[in-house]
Amino acid sequence: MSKAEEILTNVLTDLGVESANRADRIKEDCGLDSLSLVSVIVRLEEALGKEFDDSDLDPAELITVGDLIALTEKYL
Amino acid sequence: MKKEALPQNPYLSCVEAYYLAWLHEFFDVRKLYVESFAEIEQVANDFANDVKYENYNGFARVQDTGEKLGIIKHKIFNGDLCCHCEGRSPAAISYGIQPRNLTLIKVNEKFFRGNLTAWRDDHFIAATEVQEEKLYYVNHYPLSCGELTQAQLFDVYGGTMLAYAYCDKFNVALYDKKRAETLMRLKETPQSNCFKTLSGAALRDALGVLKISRERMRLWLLSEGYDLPELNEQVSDLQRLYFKLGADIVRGKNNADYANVLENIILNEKAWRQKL
Repeated sequence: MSKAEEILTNVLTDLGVESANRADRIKEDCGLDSLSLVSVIVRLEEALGKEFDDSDLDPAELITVGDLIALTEKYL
Repeated sequence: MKKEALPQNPYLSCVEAYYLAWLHEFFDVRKLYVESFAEIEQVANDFANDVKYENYNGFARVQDTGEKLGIIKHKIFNGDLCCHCEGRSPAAISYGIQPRNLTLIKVNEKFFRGNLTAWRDDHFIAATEVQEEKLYYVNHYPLSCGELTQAQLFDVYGGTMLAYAYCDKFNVALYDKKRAETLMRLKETPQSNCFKTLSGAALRDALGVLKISRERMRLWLLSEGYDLPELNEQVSDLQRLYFKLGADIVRGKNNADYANVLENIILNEKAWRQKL
């Protein structure tokens, strides 16, 4: 498991998502609604010690767990 | 109904989420969005007056529009589960579990087992199947599916069931009247400076309601043959801004200035409505 996957897994587990694969869809498979996804983003920022740029936070681009891993990797 | 279908339609409540996911299987639900328009000014004023997102009623709920248009009939059962099921619960609930019926069961706080709570004070699950005295269900929040024994169902039952039945009597004349009314409203010029009295969670929730309304307008207009790139842009901008505001609130950024992006929302609004 990569560092980014480890960070994301910890965040998702804290929010009650028991298991998630890279291809899983954030809404349909993980069951996270818009406000839950906001919580994921802010917890990732806290774990990374950095704030994501607005241009990286387009909900239309954050569809799968893989998208969240890629976002995390970008700020590692 | 599969749980994956629940987030795929624009909804304001869990009942709308179940209703749209169910009806979508055999009816073009975009027609129900004919009554989903609200002016930005109206939504902003509502939230300035402490209206809550979960109770928002500035435009019609899809289940009410469906009933008015003759597509759906509904019944509400209040009170003890035993009475409704003639002592044979949960199997008796299966009267409503047919392809063209939807049965929603209100659940109490015991359903959540202390882990999560619903985002409004009433919450429903949708019954999908009854087998060997077990009720199978899908749940909108947290998104899940599961099963309840008879004893468990009695324990978590919240005192109300909603039953919807598809009746396929679409009132074309009434729909055409509503269609004309909505198109007339869309051709009016929206006001500027609508958001100036809003901030924080109230602004976020107003944008959340507008996001749903404009996504429904986009889908409804597509069903009517209008494909408007300016409206697509408005929906995307509302989604991004709603998300950013939500994040800023959790980050504790209470003094962020959104004047420019909010002004852009008004300009977008004028742009897509001028194309009609």
